[in-house]
Amino acid sequence: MHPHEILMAALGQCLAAFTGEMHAGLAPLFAWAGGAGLGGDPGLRDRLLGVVLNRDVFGYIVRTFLILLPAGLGVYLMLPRGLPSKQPQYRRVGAALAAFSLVLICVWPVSEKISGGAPRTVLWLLSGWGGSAEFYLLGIVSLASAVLTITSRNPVYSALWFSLVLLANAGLYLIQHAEFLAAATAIVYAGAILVTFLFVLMLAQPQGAASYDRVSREPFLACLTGLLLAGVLLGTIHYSTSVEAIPNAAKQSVRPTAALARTQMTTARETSALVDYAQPHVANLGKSLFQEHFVSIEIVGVLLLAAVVGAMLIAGHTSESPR
Amino acid sequence: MDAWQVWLEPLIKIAIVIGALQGAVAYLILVERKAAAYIQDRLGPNRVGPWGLLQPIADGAKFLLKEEIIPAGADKVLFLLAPVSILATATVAFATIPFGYFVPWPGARPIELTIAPGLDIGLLFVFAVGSLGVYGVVLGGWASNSKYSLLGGLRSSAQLVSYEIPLGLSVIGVMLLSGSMRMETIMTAQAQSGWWWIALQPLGFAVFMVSGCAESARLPFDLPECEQELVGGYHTEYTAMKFGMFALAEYQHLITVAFLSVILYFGGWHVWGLAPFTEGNQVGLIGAAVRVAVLAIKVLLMILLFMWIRWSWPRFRYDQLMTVAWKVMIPLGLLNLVVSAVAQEFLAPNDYMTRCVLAWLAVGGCVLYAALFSNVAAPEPKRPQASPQA
Repeated sequence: MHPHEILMAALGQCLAAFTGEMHAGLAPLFAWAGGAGLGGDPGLRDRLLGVVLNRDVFGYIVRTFLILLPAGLGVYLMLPRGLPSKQPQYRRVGAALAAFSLVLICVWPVSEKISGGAPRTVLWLLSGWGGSAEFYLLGIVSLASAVLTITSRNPVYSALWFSLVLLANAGLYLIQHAEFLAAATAIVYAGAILVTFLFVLMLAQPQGAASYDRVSREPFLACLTGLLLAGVLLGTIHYSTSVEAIPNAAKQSVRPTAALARTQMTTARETSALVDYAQPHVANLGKSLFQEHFVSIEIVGVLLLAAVVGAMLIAGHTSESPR
Repeated sequence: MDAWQVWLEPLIKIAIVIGALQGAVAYLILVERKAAAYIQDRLGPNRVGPWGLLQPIADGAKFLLKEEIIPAGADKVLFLLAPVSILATATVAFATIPFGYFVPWPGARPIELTIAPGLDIGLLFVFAVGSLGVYGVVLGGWASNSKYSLLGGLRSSAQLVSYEIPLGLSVIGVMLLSGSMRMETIMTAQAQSGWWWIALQPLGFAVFMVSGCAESARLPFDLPECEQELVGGYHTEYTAMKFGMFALAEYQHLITVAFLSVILYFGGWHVWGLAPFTEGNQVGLIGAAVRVAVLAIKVLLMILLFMWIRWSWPRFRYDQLMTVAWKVMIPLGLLNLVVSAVAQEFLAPNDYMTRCVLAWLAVGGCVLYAALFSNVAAPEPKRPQASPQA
């Protein structure tokens, strides 16, 4: 069997994975295409199809990785490796692959348990969670900037793309009414930490930097790790939202997942009697932090103090001690 | 929520704010030059129009018509991005500055005179956006491919990041007193109590003024662009409207700081005796106009104070600048925080007299300590030299 046949088969199975649930009629077509690529072995085809369409945890995870595979490959192609001369073509192909993967995630079908029988996609699920035009815009900006952060050759541009990631995330927090978190992200990360990064980069003069500063060191392993992490996260989220039992109250809603989230939130509110949820957001957050999580806050404070003392110790010895 | 409320109303407000800001900045530059001339016993601009009143328009035309230069070896994208980003962040900070609201006719929905009314983190939003302004300075300095610009950018990033800490610390006392970060609530709290928070937070106000001055890089703290050492600092290489954008942003920072100090410490639109016009839930057009006028007059006075400061103090040395931030302003801010928090915990909520006495006692203590023991302004003692070869 030639390599391109294997690739063909994998692509067919990959397509079958997500179209299979969305448009059940098309699945045999792709499966047939995949089967033809495998040399007409129906047993292998059925086994693969069984894995791909399986509804248990393993099936979910396998499908998640199949969907994320183009993204991983695309990011691998976009990472700066070796000479910059061939980079534009690679980058374009990689960007297309990553975008393809994003589209796959969006049109990924959700379980009938949630959609109520009708074929629905992740996009529908997101819109039920309050996904608006701003949400999609900020989400795409965040993802694209994240990819550009790790694929830029110039460290200054990397830092700037990262700041865009943080700002987009702050916007996402704002949409979810986590106003304090949004402001804190902008002030602490984008306003202070990244500016310090830029400060150091400016001193380091990256224009004349050595090649090892401008290429990715372990592109393959990095992509593999990222792929594994993203796959496990996405698979777990998808599995937990589609398989877990949904309360009766949620079933009657048009958008059951939103109703489910609401139910869980009210349960959380009832269990924590200390916090008065009639108050505005920031006051609420303060009470929650300093009443429910008081010990954690104190421990974090002591930890930060220790870090500051340690930094002073390291910084002080180089210049002061005459030794 | 109809389309009018979602789209048209904010757009009109944004247009008004941007237009008013640009006009205000143009004429503030004229005011600054006139004030400087008055302080230095000169005449100031008086050639273009009566009393030089058309000078800002001539300046604006000059900015637009001059040649745009991008220096060789500059990073073009970042070079162009820097002035845009600094002006954008300086403008966005105005989204939560409240001018109150008015009810156009009895029973109607009140129209807020704020772009983003009711943001619970109002004050933090201004700080968050303001903290992004440093990108423009840093990038402008780095992308210019010039040593002067780079040094200006380096100095500035250290200065702006350092002074953000005392700036944040100084306003916590106000938040504690008002019980909120919303600027509307802070003004209402001052109007209801009849006290301006400057009386209860003198230490906080002092720290706020100094840090605000440093954040907007006004003269005692204009290390990022000091002409004698760095030619023009981070915007040495910028010409025409790109430099104009840096200048606009600088003055918008000044206006923001003036607005914040008026709202946080000087009662916003509250003036004793004008309460019948400005208080209450059903504020009509007249009431709203009085509010805006009072706020604008107070802000103008504040800006004049800043200009006065500019021509009254010489510039700090760089090590003094950092010493002031880390060894003076942050401890003072912490002291203010502790005093305010203790007062808030143990005093009755409306016991403003005791708070006032406590706060001014703290100020007196600080002044006494500075007079007796402090040596932060003294020159650095000479470090022991490397052992000379005997």
